[in-house]
Amino acid sequence: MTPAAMVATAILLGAFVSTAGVYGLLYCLSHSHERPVVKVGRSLSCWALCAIAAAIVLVTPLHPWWKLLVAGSCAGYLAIPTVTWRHLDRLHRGKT
Amino acid sequence: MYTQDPIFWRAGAIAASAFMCVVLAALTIDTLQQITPGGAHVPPYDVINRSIGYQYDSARGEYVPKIGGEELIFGHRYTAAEASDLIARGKLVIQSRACIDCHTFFGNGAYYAPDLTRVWMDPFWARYDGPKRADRLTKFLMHPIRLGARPMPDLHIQRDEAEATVAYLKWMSGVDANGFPDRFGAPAPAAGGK
Amino acid sequence: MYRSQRLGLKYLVASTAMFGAMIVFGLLSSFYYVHPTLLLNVFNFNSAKIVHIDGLVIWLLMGFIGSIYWFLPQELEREVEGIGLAELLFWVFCAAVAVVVLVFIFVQYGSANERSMWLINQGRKYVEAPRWAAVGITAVAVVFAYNVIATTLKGRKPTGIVIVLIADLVPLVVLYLDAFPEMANMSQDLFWWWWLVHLWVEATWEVLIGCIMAWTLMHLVDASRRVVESWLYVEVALVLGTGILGLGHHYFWIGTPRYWLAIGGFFSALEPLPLLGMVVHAVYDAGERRLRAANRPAFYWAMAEAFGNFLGAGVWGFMMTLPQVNLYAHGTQWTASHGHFAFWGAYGCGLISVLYLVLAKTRGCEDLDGSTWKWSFALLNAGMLGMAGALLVAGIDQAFFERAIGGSTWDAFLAMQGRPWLREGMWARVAFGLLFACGYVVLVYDLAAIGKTREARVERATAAAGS
Repeated sequence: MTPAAMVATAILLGAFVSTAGVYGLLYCLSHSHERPVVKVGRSLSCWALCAIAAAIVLVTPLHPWWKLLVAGSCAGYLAIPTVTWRHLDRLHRGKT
Repeated sequence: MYTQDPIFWRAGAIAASAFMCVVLAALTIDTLQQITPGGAHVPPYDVINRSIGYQYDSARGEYVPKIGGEELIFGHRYTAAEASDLIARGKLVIQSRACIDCHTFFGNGAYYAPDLTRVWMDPFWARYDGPKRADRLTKFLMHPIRLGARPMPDLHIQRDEAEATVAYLKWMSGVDANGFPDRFGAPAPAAGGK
Repeated sequence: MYRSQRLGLKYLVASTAMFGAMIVFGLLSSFYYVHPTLLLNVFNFNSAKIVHIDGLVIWLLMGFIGSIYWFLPQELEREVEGIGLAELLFWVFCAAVAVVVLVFIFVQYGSANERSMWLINQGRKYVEAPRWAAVGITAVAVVFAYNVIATTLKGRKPTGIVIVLIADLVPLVVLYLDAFPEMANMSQDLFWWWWLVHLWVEATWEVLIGCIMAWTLMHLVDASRRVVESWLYVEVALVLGTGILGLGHHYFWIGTPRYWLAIGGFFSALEPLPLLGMVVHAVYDAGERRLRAANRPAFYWAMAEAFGNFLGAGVWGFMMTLPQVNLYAHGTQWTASHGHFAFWGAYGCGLISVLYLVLAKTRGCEDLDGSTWKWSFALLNAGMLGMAGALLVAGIDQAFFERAIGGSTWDAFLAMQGRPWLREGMWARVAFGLLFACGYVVLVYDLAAIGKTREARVERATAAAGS
């Protein structure tokens, strides 16, 4: 890996997880905020997460197995907010 | 639904932890064999009687230590037992002076001073041949001179302690660390090129 | 108040004091980077750093122990078993820490012999404390574990949180035994050392703070036990499921077999996933309460814990964990950036939340608020973000020029220290470190004063008269 590719890869990886966090946050906020900007932000961050994952897969010189891991993680980061929110909701509703 | 039952998740926590612990235990047994001196990755202590280089191995695609012919330090051919004692003493020096709280070893430690993994073959010291290199390093440890912006303190290292430390650093430079540090001592590439 | 809770208070006060000491020596350590001949041969960088990082471990450990002594008797509805011994050992612990710090400052190092190992400095990172002190810490940890286990056995049916806590305490105490050995073989030394460090901070401590935050949520926002316990099990499954073999990300370059690159990289890359789940949980709870809680500082620090953990440990860690990147990032200021941010997010914020929770109870003032805590919240978090950012920029530059291009030689290292981004990064780190220190001063002032002001007293009296 060239030095420049190493730095670019690292920054993309950091952006990947950061965007996952932003998506998770906006997903949660969209449940309590009706404002369109939150819903638009949620969609944009979802697409941004997929775009960054695609960039890592297509552009970085990582081995294919690592790229597969990133793609799988992308699916995980997309699923976690939905699954977790639903689980917490059922847990809280079921407590009474 | 069963996923709402805490017992389901408790069983999951126990199963996940237990499985991972078993795998870790198995890998630990194998790893400890390979990192024993004389094992696959770590040279025996009497490697301090040999020359140690660092070269790119195209088959592995990384830099690896290369053990060569005889190259004594301090004018002495150490037996396996003597080398073992010397290395143990060297480690005690390193711990007593808390070297790892300024330097790094295999990249572990503090980032205030240079990494010492391959210091034995650092171009700064490798301009001296083996026996002279050991002497120069020993003198430096005993009476550090300012080499750059980050001066090394005088830690009152005695001659026998310094010699043991130099022997330690030589032995350590022979450890196969999966290519760390990369490109050590190689000419610099262009920023965008390999 | 139970005797155990009074002891918990003492531990939390000691913890807060140690937090301050850690900051002082952290600031001093940062000064060396911008003034390399500072106190040369009088009090060198390594001595300052030792007090800084050991102070980190001690303030967090004391905070954990104090939190558990506080919550445990309420959880089990009885006094803690063996509390007299625990009270004695608290003073022994404090005295030992004081002696060790004084030795680190005034003696610093000895000759290469067993006497130095036993009395002065063992010279292994985070566990430099001399062997006699390590014996003392082990005794404190064993008695602490005994307190928890014996109280549980003698009490009513143990709760899920307590069972998880006990299951976690046993490996936590056993792992500390790595503070003793002296191995000549550096690969072997580091192999076992990482069992202690990683399986503490990325496994058993995560479970510990999970238990503490579970209790915090129950007391802070009246969270249901069923919910917090269920969530705790999920957390344990995911954190230990990824973290135990995530240990392998420390085994890339220490002379261990190559398969650790794949195993460590894979599991380490999965570690941020449960942290996102924790962020979702935090936002869910915040939404349930409409961001309102009687104890606002405790609530906001608990939220900060979830976000800080995700950012510092998750994002910062993921950036540098794949072996292809780590080969160059390893052992640079990049690592320091991640380390500072992760410790703060994962543990510091959570303990501060507990401090406010405990204060509310002891001062009989459930609704804590004001402007001072907001200042300390802002200063501490901004200071940490700034430090992590400064170290990140310096670290990436270092990975690029010193490691990838320079090949990590001495010349490359020394040349790197003069590069603008590293020099400016170190100055920025000092500035943000000072900001962080200001935040600490404001925090201590607020902890001393909150809930005690005349207005708060008048409010409480009015509320009492009204009811």
